[in-house]
Amino acid sequence: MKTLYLSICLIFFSFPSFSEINQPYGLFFIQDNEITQGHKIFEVPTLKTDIEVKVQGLLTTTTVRQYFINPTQEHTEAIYLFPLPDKSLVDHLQMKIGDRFINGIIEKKEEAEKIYQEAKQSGKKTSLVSSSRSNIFKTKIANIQPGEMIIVEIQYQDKLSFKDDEYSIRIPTVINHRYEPSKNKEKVSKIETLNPDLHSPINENNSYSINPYSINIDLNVGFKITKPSSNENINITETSPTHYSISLAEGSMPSTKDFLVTFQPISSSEPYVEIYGENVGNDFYVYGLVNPQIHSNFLELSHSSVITIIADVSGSMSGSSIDQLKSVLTNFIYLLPDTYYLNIIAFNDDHYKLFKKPEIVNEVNKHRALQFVRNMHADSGTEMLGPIYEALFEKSPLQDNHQIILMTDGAVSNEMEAVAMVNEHIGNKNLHVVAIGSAPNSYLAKGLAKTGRGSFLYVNNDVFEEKAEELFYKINRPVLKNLRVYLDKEHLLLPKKLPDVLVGEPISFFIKIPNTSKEDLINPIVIGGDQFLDYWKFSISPDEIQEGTNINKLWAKEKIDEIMFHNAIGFLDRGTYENKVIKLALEHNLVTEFTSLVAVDEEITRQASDNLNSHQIAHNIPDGWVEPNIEISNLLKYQNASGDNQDLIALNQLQEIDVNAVPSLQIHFVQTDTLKNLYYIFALIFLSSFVFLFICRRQLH
Amino acid sequence: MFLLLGGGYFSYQGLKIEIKARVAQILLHYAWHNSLEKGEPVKPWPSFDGSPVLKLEIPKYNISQIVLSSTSGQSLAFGPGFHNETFLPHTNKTTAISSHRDSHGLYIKKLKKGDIIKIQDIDNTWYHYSVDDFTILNVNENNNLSNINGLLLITCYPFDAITSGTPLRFIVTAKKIKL
Repeated sequence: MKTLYLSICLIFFSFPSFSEINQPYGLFFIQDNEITQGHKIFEVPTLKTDIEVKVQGLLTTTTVRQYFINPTQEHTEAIYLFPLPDKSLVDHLQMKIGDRFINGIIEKKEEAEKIYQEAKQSGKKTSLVSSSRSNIFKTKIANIQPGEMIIVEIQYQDKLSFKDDEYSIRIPTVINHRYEPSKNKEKVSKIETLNPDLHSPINENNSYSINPYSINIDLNVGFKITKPSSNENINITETSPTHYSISLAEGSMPSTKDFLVTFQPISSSEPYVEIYGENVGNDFYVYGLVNPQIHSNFLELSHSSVITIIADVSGSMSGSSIDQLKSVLTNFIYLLPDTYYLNIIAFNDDHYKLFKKPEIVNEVNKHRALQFVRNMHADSGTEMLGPIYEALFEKSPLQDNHQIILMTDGAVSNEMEAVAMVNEHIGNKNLHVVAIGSAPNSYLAKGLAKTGRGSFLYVNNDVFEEKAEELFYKINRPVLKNLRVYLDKEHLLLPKKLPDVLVGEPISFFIKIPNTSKEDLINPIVIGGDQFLDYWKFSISPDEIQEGTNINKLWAKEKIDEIMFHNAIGFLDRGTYENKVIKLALEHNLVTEFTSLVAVDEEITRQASDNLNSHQIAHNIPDGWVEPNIEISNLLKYQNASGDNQDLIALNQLQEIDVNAVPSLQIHFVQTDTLKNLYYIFALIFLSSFVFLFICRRQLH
Repeated sequence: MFLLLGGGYFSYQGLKIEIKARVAQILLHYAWHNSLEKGEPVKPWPSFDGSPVLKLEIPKYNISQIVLSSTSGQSLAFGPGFHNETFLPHTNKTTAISSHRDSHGLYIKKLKKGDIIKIQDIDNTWYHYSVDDFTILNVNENNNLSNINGLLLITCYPFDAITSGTPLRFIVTAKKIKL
């Protein structure tokens, strides 16, 4: 039963992606209401947002810096909310509030809590930032003076998104409401509950003066791409066909719509390889990318191959899922050449094999396979271990090239054991996963495919012929197989065994070379593998390695993902898992499940006697902080306002927001009617006509 | 003879749906009882693909049904299904349950504004709802509903259609109340 709970948790952990978040974010003032014990939340006007994205290979490092101002007459407390992309990791936070700097330091959660509490008791200002369960990043800031400026800088690591042969970077603009310094109170409408239309990240107001965005992207992907295009006017500087710099043509854009950059890889006859390296501490970190942008004309179909299909025919597949499975499978069988071997194992709480062992695909066997598929019915429970075991230990008629394809909706028990078993016994077979239906449990399905060094395909109401072809050609036309890294220094490779390179599926890997710097490397790093009937080799000398940044953090993020997966499938107990994650997080400065950022106030708080114009007082700038270059004109209005309190507004004149409101709900409706009544009507017609005829014949006799 | 066989076949198909729906609920009630004692879901029979998550009661219409953990075809044949994309009652968010209009969801058309619906979760906590609103929605046009602290009961519409496959859904909105 434990496994069941775990799988439920994992589903809930599948966070919405950046652009899907329909929740207010930015900076919000909190007004405590002593009478009702509750508090109201108001949106703080955003002056400006700067975004920098650094792309290395398929990995991105994004720095977001936002400028806010307190236009009110009150000393307030604020909360900063920021949505993070799915599976991204935060590693940096810095804030400047008036003259105060707040620096984020990574600590263990309990440790962080202790520091926070101690500071609070000694009267210091501090704030605690933790990665909450949802991927909204959240921090509290206390004691903001009237007219004071707040700058928040946050950095996180993520991956490029890739869909339909296109890479994209999407930057949603912050929600923002016009701050109207009008003294006419009636004009300001209060909103009791959150209206999703009004609070979507897209601001319909097309005034250019609100929250301008500046965006800079350093796009160093390492493989040849088409010239990037965007929905905005952009300036593009081409350093090389694999490296572009992008900025906004007008310098900034209003926060009226999402910013999107897309580009496509250019196909070539050889896979692209790019290597980035960085010295961090005593170690040298390497990030590598093998991208098979190969046109299918350059690829040959494997002459012969063994294919074992494991088909889920349990009760949860009933309805459209089983029909989809049968359609894809039938189309797939038609595609098989007569030099291939095939077996099918259907399973629910028992399993049924088409053949004892994989048989050559001749006319007779093809016919039997199609018959077998036609007879499939979805019923009963799901016991996945048996069929996977059978497939893994099946005697293969060929030395290598044995492809196992699991087709399931993911509603299975024993997933953890299945992953563990595949990990143990996969050998040189490959296990691919085809997820079917509207809600496949893709974390485990993807995990199974990753462990089985196979590919993951998702089918839901597609054209089944196309899906079957995609699957067939992908797994039987590998670009590179049996990849290995050759390096004369002791090193740690992540993942330990490199997956095969299939069409449209770039692979990434990391190498950590302990107690070595780039300068210590003499011999080249070599990557070798099997191309169709040929040997493929890529070699790079140390001085050709591109200078990377944050490679250690990206490595640590990947390592944490691996540890998390090992914990999920039961390879690591909770304690070991926690220790390992904490060690990595503290070493590489990452916010995780077990570590938090504690923000410590570095500057001595302003004296009460200081006047409010004291922003201009010189201050110590902490390490790593780049003094922001903000256009003063933007601020002037507020600067003046702070000099003359008459112009500052009351807090409740700002837009009030319900931060806890949840956006609208999407329901996957299902068919809830049966043919029962129709059956009864037919039954009635047939039976009554039978009785009628029976009586007629009797009377005739 | 053909007529007799045909008649027999269709009666069998019709009765199969009916019997499945009724017998399964009896077994599910038993499994629910065990689930409450153990504090974790118990399978009603070994080859069953899913688990009971909630118990739904409407005293006025003498309804007591066990809600299953998914809305797959098989689950719905045995009992009402809980939409996994929505939330369990203790979260104070929306809970959505779908039932077949001609078996477990028969009562839905009888519901009136103000009727009390009781839901029990696996921790043996009861939640009470009061029927508030009715909507008919075309799933091809819109599947966004606003989030409420309450319950949505969903079934196919029109209620007495003979064939299946309608895109219309009848949705009962019930708000959570404190007794």
